[in-house]
Amino acid sequence: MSSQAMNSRATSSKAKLTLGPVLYNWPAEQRRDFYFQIADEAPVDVVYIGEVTCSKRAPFLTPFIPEICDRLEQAGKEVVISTLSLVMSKRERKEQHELVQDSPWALEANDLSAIGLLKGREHIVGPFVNVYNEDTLDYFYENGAQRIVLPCELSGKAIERLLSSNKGREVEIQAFGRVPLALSARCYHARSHGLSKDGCRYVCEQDPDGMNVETLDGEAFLAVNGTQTMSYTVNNLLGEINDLSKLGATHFRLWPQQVDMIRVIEIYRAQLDGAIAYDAGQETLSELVDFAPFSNGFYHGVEGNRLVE
Amino acid sequence: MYDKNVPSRVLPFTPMLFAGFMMRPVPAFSLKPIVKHVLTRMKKLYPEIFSRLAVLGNTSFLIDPTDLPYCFCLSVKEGETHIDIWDDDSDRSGFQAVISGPMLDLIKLLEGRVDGDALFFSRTLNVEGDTEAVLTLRNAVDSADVALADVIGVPVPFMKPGFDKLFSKVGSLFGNLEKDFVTVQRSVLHPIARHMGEVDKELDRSADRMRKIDKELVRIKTSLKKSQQSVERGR
Amino acid sequence: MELVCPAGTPASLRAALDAGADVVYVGFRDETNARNFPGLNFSPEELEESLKKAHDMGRQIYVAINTYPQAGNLEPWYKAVDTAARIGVDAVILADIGLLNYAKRQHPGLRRHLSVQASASNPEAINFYRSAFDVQRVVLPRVLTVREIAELIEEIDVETEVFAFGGMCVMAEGRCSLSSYATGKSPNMNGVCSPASHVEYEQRRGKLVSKLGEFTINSFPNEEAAGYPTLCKGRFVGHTGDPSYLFEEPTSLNVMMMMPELIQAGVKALKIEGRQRGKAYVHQVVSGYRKAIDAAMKGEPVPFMDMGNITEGTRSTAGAYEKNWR
Repeated sequence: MSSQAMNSRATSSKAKLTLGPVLYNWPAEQRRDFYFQIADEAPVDVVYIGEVTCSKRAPFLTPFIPEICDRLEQAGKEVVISTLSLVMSKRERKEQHELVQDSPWALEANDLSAIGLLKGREHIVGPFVNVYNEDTLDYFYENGAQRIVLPCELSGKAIERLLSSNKGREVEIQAFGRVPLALSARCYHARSHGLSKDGCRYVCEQDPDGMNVETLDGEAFLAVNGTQTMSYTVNNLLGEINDLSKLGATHFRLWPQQVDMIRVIEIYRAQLDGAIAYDAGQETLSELVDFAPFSNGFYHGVEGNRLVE
Repeated sequence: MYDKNVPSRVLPFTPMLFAGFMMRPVPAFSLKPIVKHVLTRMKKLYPEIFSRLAVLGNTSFLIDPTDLPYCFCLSVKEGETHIDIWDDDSDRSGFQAVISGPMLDLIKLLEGRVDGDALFFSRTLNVEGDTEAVLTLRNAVDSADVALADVIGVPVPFMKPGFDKLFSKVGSLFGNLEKDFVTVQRSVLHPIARHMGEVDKELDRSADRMRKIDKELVRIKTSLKKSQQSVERGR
Repeated sequence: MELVCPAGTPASLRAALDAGADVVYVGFRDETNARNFPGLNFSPEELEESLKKAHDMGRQIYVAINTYPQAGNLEPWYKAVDTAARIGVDAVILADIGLLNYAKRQHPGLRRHLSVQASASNPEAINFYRSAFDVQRVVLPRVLTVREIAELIEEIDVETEVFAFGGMCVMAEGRCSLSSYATGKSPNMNGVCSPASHVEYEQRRGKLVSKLGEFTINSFPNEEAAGYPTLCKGRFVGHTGDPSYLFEEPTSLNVMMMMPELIQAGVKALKIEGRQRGKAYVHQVVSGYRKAIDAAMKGEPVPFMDMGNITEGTRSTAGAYEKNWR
């Protein structure tokens, strides 16, 4: 066990980068092209794909999934299908059952229903499942988790404590992108257009990085993505990943945004490999991400929207 | 935090306000013994309130019955609770929180006959400053079944027995009067309120325009930055 | 139909029992419960006394230990479960997987309910908790319609408890980090949402402005009813450029008029939210619901009762129980 822990420390520069599932409603063809480009060009080790946010969007992507997965696997990427984060209706449950039964790819469980269905089978515990302490972490590994993605609001201190008890097993940290903060049965995109969820006309497609939400004082605050509420700021742990990697974090997740994701991935890879100075990496990232400021407050145990230098 | 020169809101037109006018000639210091006696009795009758207040450490509240010419200073110092009564025009600086509302509602709140959040939702109660401290006070007071009659039931040193009866009689009289006063208040205030409403709307429209201009400015700045960047890239 | 009522203090607990609560749920005075507010909640001694009173009246007490234990500091949560078991409460309400596991292992005889904070919104999730931790009851998240609840009940062998009245989360409970994004404190970690320590009220030109952390949440013109400064019930500006209640209006849940349907659906217990509210609220709501349940169980029409004065924004809604809410 201790040799495993040492091993993970010795190979810390080999920490892997993952691309989280696209949380927004990007047109299916655009998603396919995006993944093809990732397969061909991005130095990313794991790619998660699937509709996590709203089951109404799923039918558009589903036909493209085999093709996308093949291409990614041919490029040597590990492919994982992410399940829906809030499962309620009969249709959603049926689709999840079928996915668990038939998927030739590994699955990321984003709801306890999927965790239950995958009990005893190797799977990944997604960021929408509450893992706040070592007892829960242990329970999920025992249940069959090969990797656990930690929730967004955990502080560095809590993460460190969890990494000290993961016994060399895989832990993934959300490192880049707008953070999904909340889920709801109600669609706020539809509501803001005066529509209901049932008759939503897929208005969420208009905001591929989410719809900005400002306060009455005109201060940017949140971003709405259908039934999901995201941070306005873009979480960016470029300055923290090397420390986390030394502590035993094995994977770092980058959430897709409408920016040059290939370049973002390259910068993170270079930072992990020590191939680029932090300042230079940060400067390039700042140029790439022009739609919102960065934050790392959750990691530093303060307000999530804040940036701690 | 609390500027006494700027009335933050119109005084509620209540029977207490009337009583307040009548009580103007009575200076606050002459009421101090009564107020202190009430606190002493409360500490004896409801120790649970004060044990829940102790967590506050050092905090001073200004409790302002808006329809009386007095205000109460309730302070917790090193876990011990003190109270004082002041004239409305005394110096009000140095308080962590201010709670204001009509006296009868404050009494109902003290006795747990009304929900503090409900009074706040209906805008009867106003709160400024350290919200957490106010919440602690509310929760502490609500943890006991306070009955003011029990508190002042024992003869106040310089008052004749029967004060409590008088108090409850006056209380019910005020209760009855309250409705009539609200009716009168509406008719008196209506034209003023309408005028103020117009002024407020105009200010809102101006604020709205400012916000739109701000936004436009941000948009222009952004596109300027982008075009600069593309010029640089072109070089 | 069991009526489960909140109490933040022993005085509220007495008010709830007097008003006809079958069960009162409470929390300890620390971060182990989701209403970790200053001056609120029970010491072990107060709980012991209250339990005796409740049992003497033939009623029950549940203890909510429904926040998520902090990594590296599990002790307060373990201790809370141990204390509840020692005192002999009728059930504990838990959300965290690790803590459920602990409670099952250490106190197999202690009845376990699944908190709404666990967000178990479908039969698969509920059956997982049932088989893994032997939970006897699940408090359903406020995301399901009455029809969905009825269908769900047919597929599980666990009792269900649903929220009937009070504060309403519009987000899936236990899966929301909006509060910690704005204030650094969250329901899951700290037992608070939009905590008072980060709330400030300001008077601006006769308007009541509420701020949470550095963000303005709402501005109420005079005479307009106010609500909690909970950030999902604030006024914001979205794509239209005009301020609106983007997520939800200040409003309270009230399903009194749907009582017959909930009974029909097979719901076991109705829960009143509001451990942070005063005993006057507890008394009013519990009395009202007692009458309503008694009437509905006899098949009589549910009498209309005005709760306007105690609701947020003096408004109420049936929320997610009706499909058009979505």
